[in-house]
Amino acid sequence: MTDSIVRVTASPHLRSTESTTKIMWSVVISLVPVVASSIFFFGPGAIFILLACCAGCLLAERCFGSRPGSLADGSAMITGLLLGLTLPPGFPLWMAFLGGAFGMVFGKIIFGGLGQNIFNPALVGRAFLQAAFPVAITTWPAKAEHWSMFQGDIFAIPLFSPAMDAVTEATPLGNLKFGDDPIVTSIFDLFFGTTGGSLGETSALLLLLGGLYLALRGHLNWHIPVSIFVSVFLFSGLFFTLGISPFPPLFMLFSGGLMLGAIYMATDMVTSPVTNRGCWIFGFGIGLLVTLIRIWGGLPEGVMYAILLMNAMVPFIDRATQPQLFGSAPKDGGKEGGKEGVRAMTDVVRSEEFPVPVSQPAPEQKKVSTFNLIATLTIIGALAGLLIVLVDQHTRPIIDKYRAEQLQKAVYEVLPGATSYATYYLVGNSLSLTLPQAAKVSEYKRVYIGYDAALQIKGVAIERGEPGFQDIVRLIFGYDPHTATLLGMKVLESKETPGLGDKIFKDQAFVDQFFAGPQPPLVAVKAGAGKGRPNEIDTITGATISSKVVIDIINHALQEWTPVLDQGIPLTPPAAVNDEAKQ
Amino acid sequence: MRSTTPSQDFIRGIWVENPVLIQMLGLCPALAVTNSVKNALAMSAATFFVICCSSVLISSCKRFIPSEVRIAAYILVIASFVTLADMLLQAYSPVQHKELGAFIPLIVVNCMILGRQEAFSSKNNVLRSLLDAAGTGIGFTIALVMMGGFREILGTGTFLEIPLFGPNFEHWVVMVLPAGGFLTLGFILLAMGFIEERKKAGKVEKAEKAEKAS
Repeated sequence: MTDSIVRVTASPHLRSTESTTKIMWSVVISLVPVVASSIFFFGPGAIFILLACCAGCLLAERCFGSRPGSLADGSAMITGLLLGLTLPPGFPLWMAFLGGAFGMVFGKIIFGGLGQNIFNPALVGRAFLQAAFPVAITTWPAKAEHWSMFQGDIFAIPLFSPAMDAVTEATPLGNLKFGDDPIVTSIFDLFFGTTGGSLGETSALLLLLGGLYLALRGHLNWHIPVSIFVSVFLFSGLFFTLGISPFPPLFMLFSGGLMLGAIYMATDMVTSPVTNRGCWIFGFGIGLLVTLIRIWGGLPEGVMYAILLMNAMVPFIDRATQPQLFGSAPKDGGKEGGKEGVRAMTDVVRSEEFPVPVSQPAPEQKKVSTFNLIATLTIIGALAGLLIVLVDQHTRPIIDKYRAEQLQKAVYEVLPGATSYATYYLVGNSLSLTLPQAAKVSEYKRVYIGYDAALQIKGVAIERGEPGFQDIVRLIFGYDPHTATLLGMKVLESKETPGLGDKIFKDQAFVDQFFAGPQPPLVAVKAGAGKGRPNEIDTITGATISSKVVIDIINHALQEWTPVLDQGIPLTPPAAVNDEAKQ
Repeated sequence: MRSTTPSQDFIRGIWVENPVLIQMLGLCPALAVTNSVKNALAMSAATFFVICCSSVLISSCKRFIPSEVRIAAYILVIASFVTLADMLLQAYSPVQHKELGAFIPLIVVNCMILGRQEAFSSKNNVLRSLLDAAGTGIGFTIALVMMGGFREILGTGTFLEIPLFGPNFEHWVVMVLPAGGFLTLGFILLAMGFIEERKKAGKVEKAEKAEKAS
């Protein structure tokens, strides 16, 4: 009877046949139709992008992963696939590779590898790409002429910009949010995936099928996607019926990356809550954030940030929804006693481990009188003040001169042809050269009226600031009240995003439009979509909000000043005119 | 207190006790203004001026400052030198002043400067305080220029505004944004920790070998 051996071991005695490797590979299998559809819709370029992402992830895991054999469990492969599926077709391969490696290292490995990470590594990689290359990741090239052709410039040399296609295809979300004539894409197209969008997010049908397969095998907690769908549907339905948002609820559900995010990213076992109650809170949070970002955010899509934000909340959700231990005292009753007990125990531990040092009498200190203290500080303060005044005396004139020069330069720049200008203040309802007695200069609004060499009026320069995408945008513009045309515009101050928003003063083509004599009130149009009317200004691709701020500032300033200017302005310069030569 | 020679006072702050990379002090300017080498240099210069002047003044009148109000007195001195630096920069380099914006006045709260006053200038003579301040200032400069260089090269493809890669370089926009500051500092600290660990491992190995040989 040697074949029946009784093993005596410690628990656990029941072992599941599941392993990380098995789960991961079944996720890969469920993604096969999605990957196939992305190749079907976007051509062979899709497979290259997916491979580049996977290569980045696998290489990072191989080089920096701490656990030997962690490559084989398929988790790095899934991160790569999911990241690739969130990228637009035509995304340069070197960026995709970089995103994969970055997401792997900074989303997973630095936390200690699989099971330790707080954020979904694929989304960390995408968030990095979104922040680093905002233009490339929001450019959806138009469909290629033939299926086998590559879209966009995916083979761009590493570190160098891809050649941007002139023709782009807006995604359904972008179309509805920023388009000239917003169209609600039909649910049918969204469901089967015959629309523009990122590689893996177009076909809701295949994503749902993949999710169903995983849920049936028990590898996916269905509570999470269902709660996300319910909350997106409820909140977007609420805002839609209130008339606040242009997005119908069904459109919200099937457009953008919501399906991909809800089924494959939010359900990441490591970064989602443990309990089902927690999962519902988690899903509701994601749904609410997605709705809010899509309606009011600066970007058309918000699934990525919604999931990342809620990932950060998971430890708190887990703590709040922790079920009561079997046999432990109920939470509300007996709370006091329990706490007391714990306190008593910790007190014991503390006093044993960290003996409190017997307090020694503080060393005798010379008592300094309060008067002495105050006197010392006063003397130092006075000396410091003196020093500052001395230097200020020296630097003030230089600073003032520079400021005046800058303003003068800007006035002449926006009033081409002017050789002198006079500053008029708005006192009451009319323009005046002088201010009332004892008035502060800074409290009065002013305009600068420029005159040419023949002392004829050239135009009015007006300065105004308004909040932009980041901070106040301050600009000065020239306006000819007789022909009601703009003469020029110069941005004086702006902290708009480098590379995008700062084009409002770096993009010469944009600035030149204000010198070409447009007739306000100005209207913002998408580049190339204008109809040639004299009040159109082409916005900058990728910096729509900043461009619109510039246009709004000019429109608001003119709304405010036109009544004043209409009352009549001095046609010839006053005697005391600022006629310094142009610098 | 251990005794050091004046030359040690000077050298210590540059690398071994680098204020940013080792002591983790003055991180606010290190993160905020290092989006280009030029900004990093301007910030370092202003900080260098403030830390040297404050150290000299405080060490020379340390006897008159009662210890109850010493922190207030230090801050007062530092704040007045920061105001001077602010005005001078605005007068002689207005473009740079505009670029650095609110971060010049914020030098006042740079704990690296206050730290040197409390830890060194209040206990040592004028010359040694100056050497210590200069060393710390240079260490701060090195750290900032390292970060600024890394961020400027990746973020705009230039170094000191000299293009390195030609016009087609794809800018890593994130590197010139605030997030890039955190990423860069993280990268540098990671690399330094990695090198330090390798060094230690190497030393242990050597010691083991020496033991075996003997």
